[in-house]
Amino acid sequence: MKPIVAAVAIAATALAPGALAAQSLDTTVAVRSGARFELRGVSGTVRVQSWNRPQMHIVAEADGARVELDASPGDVSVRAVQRRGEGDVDFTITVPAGTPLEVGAISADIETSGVCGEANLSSISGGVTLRCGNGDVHLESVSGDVDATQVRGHLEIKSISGDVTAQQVQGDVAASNVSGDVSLDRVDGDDVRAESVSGDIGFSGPIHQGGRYAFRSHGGDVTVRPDGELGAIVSVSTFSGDVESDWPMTINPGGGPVGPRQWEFTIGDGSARLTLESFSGTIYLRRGGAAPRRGND
Amino acid sequence: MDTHLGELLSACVDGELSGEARDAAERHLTSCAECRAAYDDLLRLARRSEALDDRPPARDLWPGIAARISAGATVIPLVTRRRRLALSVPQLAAAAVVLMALSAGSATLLTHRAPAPVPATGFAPVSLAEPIPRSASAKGVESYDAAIRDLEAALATRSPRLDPATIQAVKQSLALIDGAIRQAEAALARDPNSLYLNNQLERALDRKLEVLRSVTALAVAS
Repeated sequence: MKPIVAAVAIAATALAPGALAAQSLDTTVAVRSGARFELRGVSGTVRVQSWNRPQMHIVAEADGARVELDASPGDVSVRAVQRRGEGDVDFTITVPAGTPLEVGAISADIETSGVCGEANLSSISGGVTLRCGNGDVHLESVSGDVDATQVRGHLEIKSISGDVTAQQVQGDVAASNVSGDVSLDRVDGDDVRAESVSGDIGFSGPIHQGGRYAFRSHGGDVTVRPDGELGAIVSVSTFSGDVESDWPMTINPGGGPVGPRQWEFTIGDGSARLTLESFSGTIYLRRGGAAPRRGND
Repeated sequence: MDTHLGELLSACVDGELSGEARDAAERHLTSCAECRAAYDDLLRLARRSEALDDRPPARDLWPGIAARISAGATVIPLVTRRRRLALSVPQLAAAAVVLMALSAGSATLLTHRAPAPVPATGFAPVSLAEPIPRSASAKGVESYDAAIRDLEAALATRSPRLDPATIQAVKQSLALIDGAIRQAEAALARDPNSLYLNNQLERALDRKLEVLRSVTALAVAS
């Protein structure tokens, strides 16, 4: 990659000649189709949006940090460098639609909208929000909420102590957290998995023939609302929780109960595999549209 | 699937089937008592073999045992690391004898966390969609403990890069996982043969490892 750090940054922001520690940056870089964008080391905010030009527009408003930019027609990389571990930068990035994004933040909320390409977004202390992604999409936070909407491809979405939400996904999903809830709404995939330690898990979407669906929480409730026809071998396991099903739990001949509080039963053609587990929470298997019920019911 | 599963049984136990083959095997197991019984026997053997230490016995017991079982039986050695079991039903009886002998010899090598013997009756609580448990053995848990200690040390060196609120959130999350581990262990103490509880413990340990790995990796990468 050919570095153009100071030249572009300083010219665009009218900083004093020779100044390397640009407090602000407002520049446009010409890129070829499929160029990647990478941003690292941010504390502050990150907003990424798209346009239909073969250019990337980078605006950075820094407070006590330095911004470095390396660019080539196929790859644009921006780095925020803190001084003595301090300094925030607010980034507003505009990239061609479909640009693959790679953003790693220290303490920043990350929001992307309308880019609709592959994305690998992570923030240690901050939320991650993606609206529209295609291909491999990986979203991760340690202590923030993570939210994905309109993804077509493979979605991996996780937080440690935040809520995890995915909506309108066409493709496989792997979602997890420790605390906070996991909500998968209108997810249409053949392989969908969600795990939480203490949070509730909710899923709504079609159960495809031959698909694999597994939802496991240790202490939270698990609510699954299949859309349309359901044909699956359903495995339900709990230690001290309860199970409620809108479908009759007709135990397979010779197949269940398979443990003290484990059941396996077939619904419809049994072509999919649906695994529902909660150690101490309640498992709800609801027909599509039925509101999840919590509490004592 | 009209015929018996035969050698596919070991693949079932090892979780090596996928797609249509697994579905067909699952359907067959629900309708064929003979295969189901053989499958349950294989599963019990596999679970017990997983709990054994990898070191070889002081002396090879097999030649003497083999000499006393029916002529013509094909002897398939138990592989030391993978312990993939590929046995016919008559061979199961012989293998059971071997395992009992090995288990007795190895008992002192196992810690209190080793699973207790499985009762001779009743279905083993298993689904083909799930692999057999591997980590509830003494060796497995010790490996987890060692890995967790290493990662906690690695994270401690990186934690100055994390803000106090995030460090607190991570600590609370690890405490939640530790609580889940304790609950699974307590439940296992009352029902050590439960596949579900073994899986619960395995997942909780995996989860703790994953959290430590993720936080450490993000602290480095960002």
